[in-house]
Amino acid sequence: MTDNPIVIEELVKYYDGRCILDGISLRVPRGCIYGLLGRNGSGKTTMIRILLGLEPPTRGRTLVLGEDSTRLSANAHGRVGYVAEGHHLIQSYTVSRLIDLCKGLSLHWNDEFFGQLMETFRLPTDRKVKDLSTGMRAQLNLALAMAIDPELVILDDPTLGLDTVARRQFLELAIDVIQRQGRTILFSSHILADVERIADRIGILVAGKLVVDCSLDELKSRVKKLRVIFPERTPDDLYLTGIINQQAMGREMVLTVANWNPQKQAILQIFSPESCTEMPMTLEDIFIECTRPAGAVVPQESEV
Amino acid sequence: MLTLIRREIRDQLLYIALPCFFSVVMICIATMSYWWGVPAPISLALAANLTAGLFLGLCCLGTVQMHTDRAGRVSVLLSTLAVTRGQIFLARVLVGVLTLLVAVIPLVITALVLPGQIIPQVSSYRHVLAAVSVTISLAGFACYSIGLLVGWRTNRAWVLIGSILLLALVASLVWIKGFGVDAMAVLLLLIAAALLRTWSQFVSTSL
Repeated sequence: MTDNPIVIEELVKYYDGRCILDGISLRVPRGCIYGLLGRNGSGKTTMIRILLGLEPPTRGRTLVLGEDSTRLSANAHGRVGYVAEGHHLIQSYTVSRLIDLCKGLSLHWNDEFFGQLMETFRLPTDRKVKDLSTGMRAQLNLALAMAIDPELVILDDPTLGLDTVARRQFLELAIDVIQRQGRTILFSSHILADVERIADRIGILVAGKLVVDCSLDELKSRVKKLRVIFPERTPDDLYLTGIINQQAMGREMVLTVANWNPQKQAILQIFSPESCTEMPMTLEDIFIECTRPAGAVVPQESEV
Repeated sequence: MLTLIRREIRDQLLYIALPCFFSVVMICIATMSYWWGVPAPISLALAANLTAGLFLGLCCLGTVQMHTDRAGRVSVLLSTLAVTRGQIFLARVLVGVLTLLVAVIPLVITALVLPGQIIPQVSSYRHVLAAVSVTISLAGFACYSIGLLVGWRTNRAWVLIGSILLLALVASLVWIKGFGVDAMAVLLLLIAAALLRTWSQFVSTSL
C-alpha cells in the first residue's frame, strides 16, 4: 500500500497547441478527501482523465496507487472507483446487463452493499441506460463505482446536471458511502458548498495551474480579506507579497492577501491606517478571489 | 477475458452472423449442386462471389467493433474496470478469429466431403484444398484486421473509402499471387501491420 494513492509530478498537457495543464504537482495522502476546484476549462477533467490513463500526458508523470497512469495494470484499475462527468455508461445496455458486465470485470464485488444502494436509489434494472434520467445515471454510476470496494474513488463533477433535490440526495449518499471505510477520494466540482461539506483538503486550478493546495482550514486561515481605511488617500507604494486582489477607492482599500502573518501586518502598520478590519470569507469568496482573471497566484503550502 | 469475449459476441451478434451466413449459403449451394448435378463452373462462380461476401462480412465485423466502441465510448467504461486496453483489444481480435473459424471450418469440411463443388477438383486435391483454405482464412483475417483499423477512425467517409480500397488491395494480392506461400506471406505481413497499427492507436489515444 502506498502512502499517497495519487501522485502528480510536473504534469503538463497541451491540446491542439493550447496549454491545458501547466506543471501540476500534487500528492493526495491516503484517507484524504481532496476537493478539486476550478472554473470551466481550468483542466480538472483533463487531470482526472490523465490520472486514469484515459488521456496521455504531454510531459510529467502521474501515479495512481503506486503505478504509472499510462501503464495501469488491471489490478490497479480494479481498485479505483470512477464516477465520470456525464456518466460514461454503455447507453444501449439495460441496467441489469451493465451491472452483470461490471460485476464480471471487477476484482471484488460487494453484492450486499450494491443491493443496498440499488434499493436506496430504486433504479429500474429492466430499463435501458439511455432511458434513465441524468440523476438515475449518476446514482447508477456511483453504485457501480462503490460496489467494487475501491481503495481510491475519483468523482469528476458527479452532480453535474442534477437538480437541487437530486444533488442533495446524491451527496448525502456519497458522503455516507465515502465515510464508511476511510477511502481516499478525489472530488471535483463546480459547486463549492458540496466540496466544503466533503473535502478536508482543497486544490484550486486556475488556467491549468494549481494555485492552491492545502487543507480547507489552512486555506481559510491563510487567505485574509481586509478593509483598510487610511487617514488621507490610499498609498501607491503598498507592496506586500501574496496580494491576490487589491481594490482602492478614496481612503478605503480592500485587500485580499495570501499567507497573512505578523510581518505583513507590520508592513501595513507603517502606512498608519486608521482602521484595519478583517472581512469573513467563505470558500466561495476565496475561490472567486483566486480565480479572478487579474488575481495573483496564491502561494502553496511550502511558501511562507 | 471471458466476460470481455462474451460481451463482444453479444454486442456484435448480427455482424458475427453475417460471414457465417455467407458460409452457410455456400455450403447449401455446394450440397444442392452436388445432388442436382449442377456443372461445377456455375457453383464455383457462386462460391467466388460468396467468398467475397464472406470477406466483406469480416471487414464489417472489424469496422463495427471499433466504430461502435468509439462512438458509444464503450472503452471509456471498460478501461475504468479491472481490465487494460490491451485485454479489451485482445478479446475483440479473439472474437474475430472465432468468427473466421466458425465460417471457414464448415466450408473446408464441405470441400473435403464434396470434392469439386467449392474448389475445382484437380490432382493432389487435398494439397490444393489446404493451400486455398489457409489463403482464404488469411485473406479473411486480413479483411477483418483492415476493418479494425479503419473502424477506429471517427470519420465515416474515411471508414468507407478505407474499407473499399484496402479490400480491393487484399483481393488483388490473392488474384496476383494465387493461392500459395507467396500470397500467404504477403497476407501475414498485411495482417501484422494492420493489427499492430490498430493496437498502437487503441492503447495510446485518448478515450
